[in-house]
Amino acid sequence: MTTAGEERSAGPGRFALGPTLTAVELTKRFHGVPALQDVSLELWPGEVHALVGENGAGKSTLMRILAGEHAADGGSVAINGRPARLGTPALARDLGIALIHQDSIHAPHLSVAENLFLGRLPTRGLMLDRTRLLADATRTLARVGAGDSIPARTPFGALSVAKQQLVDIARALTVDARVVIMDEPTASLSAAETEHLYRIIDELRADGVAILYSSHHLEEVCRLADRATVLRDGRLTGRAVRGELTPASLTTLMLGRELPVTSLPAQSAGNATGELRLDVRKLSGPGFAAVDLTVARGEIVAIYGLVGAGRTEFLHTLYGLSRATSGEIRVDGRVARIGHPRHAIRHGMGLVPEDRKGLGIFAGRSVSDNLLLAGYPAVSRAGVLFGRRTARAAHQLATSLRVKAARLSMGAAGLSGGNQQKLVIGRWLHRDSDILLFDEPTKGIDVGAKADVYRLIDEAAATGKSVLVVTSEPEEALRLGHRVLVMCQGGLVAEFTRDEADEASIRACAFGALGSKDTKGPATS
Amino acid sequence: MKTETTGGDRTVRAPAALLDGGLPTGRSAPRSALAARQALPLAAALVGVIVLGFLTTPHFASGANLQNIVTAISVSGVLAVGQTFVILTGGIDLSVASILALSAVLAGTLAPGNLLLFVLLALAVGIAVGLLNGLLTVLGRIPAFIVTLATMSAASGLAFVVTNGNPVYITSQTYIELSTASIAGIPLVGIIFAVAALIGGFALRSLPLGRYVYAVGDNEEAARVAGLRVGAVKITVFVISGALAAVASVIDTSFTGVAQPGAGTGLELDAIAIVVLGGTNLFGGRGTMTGTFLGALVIGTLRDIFNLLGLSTPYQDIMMGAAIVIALLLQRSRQHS
Repeated sequence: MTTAGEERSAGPGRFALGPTLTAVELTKRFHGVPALQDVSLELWPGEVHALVGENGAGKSTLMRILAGEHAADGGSVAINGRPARLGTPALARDLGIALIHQDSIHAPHLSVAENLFLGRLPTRGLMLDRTRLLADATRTLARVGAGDSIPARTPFGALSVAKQQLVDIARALTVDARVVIMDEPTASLSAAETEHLYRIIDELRADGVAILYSSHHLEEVCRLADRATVLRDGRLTGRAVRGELTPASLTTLMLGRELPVTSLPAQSAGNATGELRLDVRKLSGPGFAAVDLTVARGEIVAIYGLVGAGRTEFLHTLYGLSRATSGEIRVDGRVARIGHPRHAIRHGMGLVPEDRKGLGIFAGRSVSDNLLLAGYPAVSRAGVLFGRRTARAAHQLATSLRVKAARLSMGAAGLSGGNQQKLVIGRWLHRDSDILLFDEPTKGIDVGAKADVYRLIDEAAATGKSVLVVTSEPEEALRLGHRVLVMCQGGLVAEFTRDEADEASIRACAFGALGSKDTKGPATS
Repeated sequence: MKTETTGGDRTVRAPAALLDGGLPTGRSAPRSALAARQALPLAAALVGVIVLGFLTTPHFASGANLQNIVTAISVSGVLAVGQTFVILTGGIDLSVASILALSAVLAGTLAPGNLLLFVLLALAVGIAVGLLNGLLTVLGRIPAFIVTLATMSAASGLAFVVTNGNPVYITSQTYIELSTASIAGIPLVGIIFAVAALIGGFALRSLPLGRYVYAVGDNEEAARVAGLRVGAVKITVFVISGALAAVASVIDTSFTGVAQPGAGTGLELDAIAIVVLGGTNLFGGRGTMTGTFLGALVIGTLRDIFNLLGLSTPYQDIMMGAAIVIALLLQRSRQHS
């Protein structure tokens, strides 16, 4: 492993004429706060270069500078050895740099084809050349293997997140990018789609494209990357090349300390008392059918499944965000009619949704508001919110959640994903909700915050709350669940106790390969 | 992007000391500093406009003129207080001027000689139309802009039908004296506006409802998931806006002594201009009542100066439009710097 100061003498093999992109001592400040300090980086043709670090480490800032979305305050960039100015996204694009975002901006009502060529639509005279547009779009989509699955005429907004991402990648191909920057590209992809993305990356690599890639999945990084650059608090803390890359070594570089014990898959046995709290019987709804499950007091039940298996739909139906078509939900033995989140909340439920930005957080409101909104009546006295009381309540919550925020009055938009997630969790802890529903609780949050979220979930169960966690990460299901259920194509296909469960079997079940072995009956075991 | 309280889109790390010892509560010093920072450009604008007044017109500082200013902004100011609630949820209420006219003529027709009865009737009409706006928006799932455009037209038409287009004369002497009454030299109508703004500001800051208003405007879907009664919040803000339009109708009628079906024409735009000038985001979620209050004072003072300079109404309107655009551009550039 090389340290921050050393530069590698030569890039990887085949295309090693010189680096495609050289960035030297890039520095960026926001409102005087350094986000990136003296970070240097070389991208060689045909290499996959991973950028690793916690949220807030400066990865996105670096990527955005290279894509011309932010102007660096210091440092320089050279393309093919020539100094380059990257002041605007258009300039960067002309230099062959394409950025694929976590949440890129599109015109959702325009067609896929129009989105692919937005700003460069083919014309005949003054008229849009529709025939050519469709032909070009179809050809481009075929290059990412989506020629059949994504019709070029469909509105972009009608596509799933994964397909939208494929369109993004295809768009990078249309500009003939020599440097493709991918910010968390697999965050919302299913396993099959991820595999497909890997194939596309391999093809790009074979074409001599340099790829800069960020991901929270360290195993993915180790499998994919030729080299990795690790950032912490805006500074370069280390580099590693293939062969040296292991999740453990990267974690140490990212955190500057050994992995906290809480994120290891070892946990006290469940505190489940056997007393049923949530009892779902033959519940069917949009995207899932005949789901039977129970959660006892103090129990954590994990539902593992691939994206699109119907897990989110199930959770949303349980919570009253969508309607069940049949079946029954019982809470503490009594039938609960839930047609609206308010009903679910009255029965003691609280949802921590997957779509944090859309359904979880109030980005423009303060940390304090975000924590207390669901429980203001409890904080008020005679219906009035007194500054001191609310501040004390928010302060206590924020401290116990270990929220990292400069002030309670600061906007939630300024927090990292992990801290935002803590606010959503804290909202239900403040209300003392008994049944906590987590949908992908650690999606897009960094390792440190992940350990905190696991701790909060463990603590909630330890104090007698019932927890249902939906996840597409097998390690997470195994780490958290006292029992692990596997969902596949809208139905629960298997159930494991903690001792029986292992990654290979739950993965196999999720792919539908092993469905019959442990087929779930009514969960009374 | 507007940054009310945030420091941009990246992680803001607390100084290490804060992480162990907990967070500063942001209650006393930081919050008031924040409020001051938001209100500062407006307060500066107000001072600027007042200085302009002294420089350009000799009678500006006279007691009579100061009373004029306060009186002139009371109607649109009260409307703006209600409008602030609606806009904070991400809605808009175009019907306030028509509600003003309708509640004035209905109350005037039924109770021309009794102030108390007039006020109660006007409030009933305002609340009813506000409720209608809210129900159509929430249950009918029609955008607020369209709903209130429709009720604006219908209420205005109804006001003419009720009176056959004629003004209704107020016979209550107490009522007519309302317009000239003052407490400690401050016109009563100005005090009504100030109290409305004060109560409104208190509600937004210190009642759960106020926090819900901001939350619904910030992220309606998240508000639903957090268990807030989103529909009820939206209906409530329209009712508040309707009720305050009725209060404005009482003030407006006392000035002229007649309830006119055409009263208040165009005032909905004045109210919206005041709210926006006050720094409230038209898409909801951000803004303060202090901003609205100062915004009303700025606009009122400007109008007064134009009056003293002898500008005719069309020219005043042109100047007003220009002033609003300039003020907003200044605000924007300040947020970006």
